[in-house]
Amino acid sequence: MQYFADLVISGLAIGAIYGLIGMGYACIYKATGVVNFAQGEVMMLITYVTASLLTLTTWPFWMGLVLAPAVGILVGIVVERVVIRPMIGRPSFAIVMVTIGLAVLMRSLIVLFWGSEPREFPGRGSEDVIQILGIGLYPVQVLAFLIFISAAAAAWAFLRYSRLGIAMRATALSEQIAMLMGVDVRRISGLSWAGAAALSGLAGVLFASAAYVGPDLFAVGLKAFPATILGGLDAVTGSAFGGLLIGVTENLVGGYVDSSLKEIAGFVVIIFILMLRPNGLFGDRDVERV
Amino acid sequence: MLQIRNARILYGRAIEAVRDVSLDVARGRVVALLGTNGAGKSTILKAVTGLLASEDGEVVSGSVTFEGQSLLGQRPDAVMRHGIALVPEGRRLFTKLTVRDNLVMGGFIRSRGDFSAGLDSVIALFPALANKLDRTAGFLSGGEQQMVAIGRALLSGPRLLMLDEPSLGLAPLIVEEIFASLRRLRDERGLTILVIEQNARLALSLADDGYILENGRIMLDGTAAELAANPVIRSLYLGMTDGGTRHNLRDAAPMRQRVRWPA
Ligand SMILES: Nc1ncnc2c1ncn2[C@@H]1O[C@H](COP(=O)(O)OP(=O)(O)OP(=O)(O)O)[C@@H](O)[C@H]1O
Ligand SMILES: [Mg+2]
Repeated sequence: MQYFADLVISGLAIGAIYGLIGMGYACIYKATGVVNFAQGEVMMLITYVTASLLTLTTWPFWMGLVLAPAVGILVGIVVERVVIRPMIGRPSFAIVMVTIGLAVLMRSLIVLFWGSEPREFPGRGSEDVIQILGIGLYPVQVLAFLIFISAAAAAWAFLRYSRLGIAMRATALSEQIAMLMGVDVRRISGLSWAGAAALSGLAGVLFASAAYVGPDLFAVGLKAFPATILGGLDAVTGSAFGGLLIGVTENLVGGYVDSSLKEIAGFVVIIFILMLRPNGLFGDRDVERV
Repeated sequence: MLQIRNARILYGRAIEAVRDVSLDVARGRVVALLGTNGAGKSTILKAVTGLLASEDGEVVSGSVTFEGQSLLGQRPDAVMRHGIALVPEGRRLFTKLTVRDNLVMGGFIRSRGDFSAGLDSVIALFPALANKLDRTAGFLSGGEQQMVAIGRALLSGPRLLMLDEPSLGLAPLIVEEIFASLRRLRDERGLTILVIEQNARLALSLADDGYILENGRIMLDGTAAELAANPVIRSLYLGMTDGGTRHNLRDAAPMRQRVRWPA
C-alpha cells in the first residue's frame, strides 16, 4: 500500500510537469489549429536561458520560477513572429512541418551554444525530504504540483471569464467571425504561443531542478504529448488533467510491471483511450443544429 | 455613408462574382439589396467587411468607401472599427459558446460599461433571449440564433448594420418578429441598415431604397415604393401578375438609366 501511494504521489508530481506542457500544446492547437512539435525544444531553450541567467545573477532558485515564464513569453512571441506568422493562411499541415523543422534546429543550436554536457540547475533548492501523509517528497515535487494547480486554475478562469480568453475560444471556432468582432487573430496566435511557452518554461525549470539541464530535455515535451491527446488536444484544462493521468500511469506501470515499459506507458494508454473516445477525454464534440 | 462605385470582384483571380456594381447607403436609410441565388449579394458584403481576402477574393476595380474613407485592403477587424457590423448569412454564431459569450464577443471592442448598457438594450429588443444567456448558442432555435446574431452585431455599437438574408430558413412568424425589430432599430435609433434578402416583399416593406442585383450587375434601383410598383419587379420578385404579361428583367432597362456612374 505504501509502495502504491509512493508511486501515485510521485506520479502526480511528474504528471504535473506533463500537464503544464500539455496545456501548452492544447493552447496553441486550440487557438491556431496547429500541433507544435517544437514544444519540448522551446521548453529546453527557456530552461537553458533561465539556468544561465540564474548562474549569471546568482539569484536564488525561486527567481527561476519567475524568470522562466517571463523568458517563455519572450521566446513564444519571437518564435510566433518569426516562424509562424509568415505561415498564417497556409495549410495547418505545412505549419506543423515547420514546427518539426524548428524543433531540430533548436536542438542543434542549443548544443552549439551550451554544449552537450548536462549540468546541474543552479541553486536547485533543498533536497530535504518532507513528509506528507507519511509519504516522503522532495520540495520540488510539492512545488511542481502547487504550480500546476495554480496554472491550470488560472488558465481555466482566463479562458472562461476574461474577454481575451473568450476571444481565444471564439477564434478557435471561427477566425472569420472573430475578425468581424474586431479580434486581431494574429494577436491571438501570438498570445497562444506566449502562453504555451510560459507554461512549458515553468515545466522545464521544475523538471530540470529535479534532474539536470541537458540537451535531451526536449524528450519531456514528447512524453507530455500523450497527456494532451488524452485530455483532448483542444481542451486546455483537460490536457492538464491528462498530464496527471499519464504521470501516474507511467509510474504504476514502471513500479508494478516493468520499468522499461514506463517510457511508453503513456503512448499505450492513448492508443486505448483514442479507440474509445476519438476526441480525447475532454475534447470537443461538434455542436451542430441547423 | 457607404458608397460602392463600379466595383468588379473576382474570386481566385478568375471567377467574376460581381461585374459592375455601384450602390449607395445614405445615413439613416434602410437599403434592400435583392437578387437571386448567386447574384453576388454576399460577395458585395464581403467586399465591404474585408472578409473577401480570406476567401481569395479581390475588388479588382472600383471603390468601396465609408464616410469618404476607402475600405479596400483593410482587415475585417479594422473595418468594423469604423462602425460597420455584419449579421452574416446563416448566422454563423460561435455555436459552442454560450449566448452570453457570443454577445461578449459582439462587444469585444467596447468598454465594460458600454457592453452592459448594450446588453440591456439587446435584451429589451429581444426579450426571448433574457433567460437563455447561459445556454450553448448552437442549441437555440433558428429564430433565437438569428436574434443572437443581430444582438451580437448591435453590441459593437455600429452606425451601419448589414444583414445577409436574415429570414433564411426561419418560420414566417419569426421572420415578422425579426423584421419588426429591424423597424424598431431604424425608427428608435435611426440606425442605417443594408439588408440582403431573397424575400423581396418583406425587404421592400422595410426598406427606403432598393437595388436589384442580377449576375453581378445592378439591374434596377430606386426607392422601395418605386420598385414595389414596378411591373417587372411585381412579376419576378413579388410573384404578382398584372394582367398575365410575362416579364423579363431586360424590360426594366429604361429604369436602369438612373444608375449611371462615371467609370
Ligand atoms: N469563396 C468563393 N470562391 C469562389 N467563388 C465564390 C466564392 N463565394 C462565392 N462565389 C461565387 O460568386 C458568385 C456570387 O456568390 P454570392 O455568395 O455573392 O451570391 P449571393 O447573391 O449571396 O447568393 P445567395 O443568395 O445564394 O446567398 C457565385 O457564383 C458563387 O459561386
Ligand atoms: Mg449570399
